[in-house]
Amino acid sequence: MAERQRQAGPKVEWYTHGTTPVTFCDLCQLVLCGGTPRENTARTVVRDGRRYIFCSAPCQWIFESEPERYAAHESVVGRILAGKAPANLLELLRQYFGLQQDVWGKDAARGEYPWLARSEATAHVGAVLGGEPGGKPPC
Amino acid sequence: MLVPLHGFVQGDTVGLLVLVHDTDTIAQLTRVLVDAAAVRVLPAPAARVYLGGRELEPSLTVAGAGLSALERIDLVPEWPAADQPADSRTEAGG
Repeated sequence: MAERQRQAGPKVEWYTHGTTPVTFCDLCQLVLCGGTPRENTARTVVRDGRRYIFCSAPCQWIFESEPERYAAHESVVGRILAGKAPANLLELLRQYFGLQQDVWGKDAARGEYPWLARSEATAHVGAVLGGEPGGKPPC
Repeated sequence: MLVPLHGFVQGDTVGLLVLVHDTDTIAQLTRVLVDAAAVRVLPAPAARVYLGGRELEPSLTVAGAGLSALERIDLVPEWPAADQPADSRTEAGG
């Protein structure tokens, strides 16, 4: 890790404006975005010599309810520190998350997601409740 | 020895993974974190760093302050009253 930092130098990794890696919850894997101290619900827990960070009490509770399930899990931050993922945020997005310039900012599926398909039954309920078939039910 | 830390800057939208040496001072850690967040948070002339709600002395080293790998630290920028950005708020760490 020290060698990687030395090779990267300032302005390349870690210290460059906008490219410093962001941190992730060790349970839900979402970016920690609590921001200011008073409203920041992030908390750390040490278990079996390893320090975990969670975005909130619920994520900590889920983890502590079944810690053995997550014991072998390697977090994004863990991978960065182990040299298995780039520390440069832009490279992390490109490589680790597979975001390439020809697809980012675009909807690669053109909105055709299976989970968006409205079933016939749902459309029927909408019609019965007074909405247009397939339309949004009144509420 | 390098120490990775989860750093949160008041006014920022994300936590940042910063690397410091255990021999670095809290003042140097402050500069690293302020620089890393500078693209989103206007750098303040001074800042306070907190560990678990406890303010860390700027002259302490990272090791001396008891910071170990992947701990959470909070940074609260401090502005002179006359220069305070409109969207900044005063709050204690913790």
